[in-house]
Amino acid sequence: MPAIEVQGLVKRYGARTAVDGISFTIDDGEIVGFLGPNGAGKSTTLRILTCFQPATAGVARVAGYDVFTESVQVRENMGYLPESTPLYTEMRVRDYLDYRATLKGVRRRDRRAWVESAMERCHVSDVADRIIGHLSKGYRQRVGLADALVHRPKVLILDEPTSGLDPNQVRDVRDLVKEISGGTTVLFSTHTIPWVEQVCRRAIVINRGKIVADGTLPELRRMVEPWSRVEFRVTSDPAAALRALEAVPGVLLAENLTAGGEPRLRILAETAGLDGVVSAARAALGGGIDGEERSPAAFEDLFTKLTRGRAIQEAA
Amino acid sequence: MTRLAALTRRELLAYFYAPVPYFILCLFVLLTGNFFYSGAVVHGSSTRASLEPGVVFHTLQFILLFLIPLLTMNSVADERSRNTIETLLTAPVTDAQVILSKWTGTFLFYLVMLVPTLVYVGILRQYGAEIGKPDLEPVLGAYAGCLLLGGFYISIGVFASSITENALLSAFLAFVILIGLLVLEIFRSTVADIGGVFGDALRGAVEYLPQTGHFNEFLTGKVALHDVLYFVLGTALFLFLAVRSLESRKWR
Repeated sequence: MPAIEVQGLVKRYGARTAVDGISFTIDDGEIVGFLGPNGAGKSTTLRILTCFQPATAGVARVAGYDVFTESVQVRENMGYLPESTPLYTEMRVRDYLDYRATLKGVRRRDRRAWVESAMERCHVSDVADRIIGHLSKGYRQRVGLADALVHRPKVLILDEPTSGLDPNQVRDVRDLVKEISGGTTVLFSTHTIPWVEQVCRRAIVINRGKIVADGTLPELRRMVEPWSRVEFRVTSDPAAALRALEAVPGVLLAENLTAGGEPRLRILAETAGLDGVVSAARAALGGGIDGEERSPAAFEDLFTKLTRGRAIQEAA
Repeated sequence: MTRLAALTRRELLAYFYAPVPYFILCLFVLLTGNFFYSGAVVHGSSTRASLEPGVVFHTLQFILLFLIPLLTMNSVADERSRNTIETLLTAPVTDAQVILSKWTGTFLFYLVMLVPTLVYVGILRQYGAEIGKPDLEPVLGAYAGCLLLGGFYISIGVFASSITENALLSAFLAFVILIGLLVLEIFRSTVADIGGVFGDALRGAVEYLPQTGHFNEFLTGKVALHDVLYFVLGTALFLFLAVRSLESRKWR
């Protein structure tokens, strides 16, 4: 039985379609990254899966229960960490987790032990008696995680678990997610690629409410293999140069990498016809080229290409 | 039941974590103490009427008009603005349990607020002896009325808090509803001459809807079923509306 099953899910807010008929299945014990730019429909999808909002159309099952008709069972078997980690900041960590465990139906005789073990797993035992509002953001994030898993759910759903954290805290939370998963199905949303590469085997990429890629990381990497990057150092105005490059046929993606001093632009194209594309690009840029460098495409290029509106229309 | 108890406990405790409820508690004691002193001690030391609980409790309906909205303003609005509503409602609890716990938690705090008023009753019983001790029935009636009135006001406050994430706006809204009910009475003579079914309905509304008439009955020790029903049904209505408002996220 799959841990999460989504079929033809649609969510409309008035005239705006936030989620546009997505379908995917996640098996028991999988750790899956849900990737997409801000506003792609990630949070909306997760809110439907966690029974916070109903979908306009479609079916979703979590831990074998329907999110519309068996919402209580879904919520009993699922742990959710919403974006921005809302917490009752006036409470102490242990009291808060005990309260949450009670709400989630943890039996009285198990409660103390389960709260302690959740705190241990998330490394917050040392602040158990501190007031949440006095903790650092990294600690709060871990308290949020402890809350999500205190009732030992079958499925964990984490919405942007590392947003707003510094690099060290990001690493902590990332390691934690790997650690705590052990058998639990985890679906987390993010817009950072390294996260996905280090934590999960599979990623689902969503853009403008539609799934644009779904596969294991090796599969997704293979999609990038036939592509190459070409970087140009230009002497002209980079914004104008970017527009010129975008118009060149065969250019899958054009990016402006200019940071500080010299204007740099990068294009993505099929390795097969690369020479043709490069000479067309040179022609489009006119004379203002200072240098050119070719390299294989990286994994993040896939994400950028899939989630840029223009690139998608081109691919379609 | 465990869940409802846990929700309610947190709700009640939240009042003791924050500074505003303490301020409201103090203000409440100050105001009721003032009305007790001016009513029973300064002006009424020689009359029988001054010993009736109405001296203290008559003003309660006006004091609570300001204080209850300040107490309830955060109940749901705060969950929305902190987004804890998302963790709350994705736990296996029902919307009705959430609203009921908001109401019960506030009601329990209101009971705490009422405790100091027992002192006034004690003083009357102790020192009112020269002109006759106050009867027990009006006192009991007055407290029954206070509980019903408080519960009703709190349900309006919780409802107002459930439709916005801005606490001050919710306090203002609750205040507007409460004062709106109260001032319906001023239309009494205006609607007196309107004929037909419409006129009857208007007169009925102006007669029945304001809380004052119902509450004042309790102060004389008369506990009538229709007055009890007014408060119980009113409370139920606003709690129902609050649940619907919480559910509205589902059909927006």
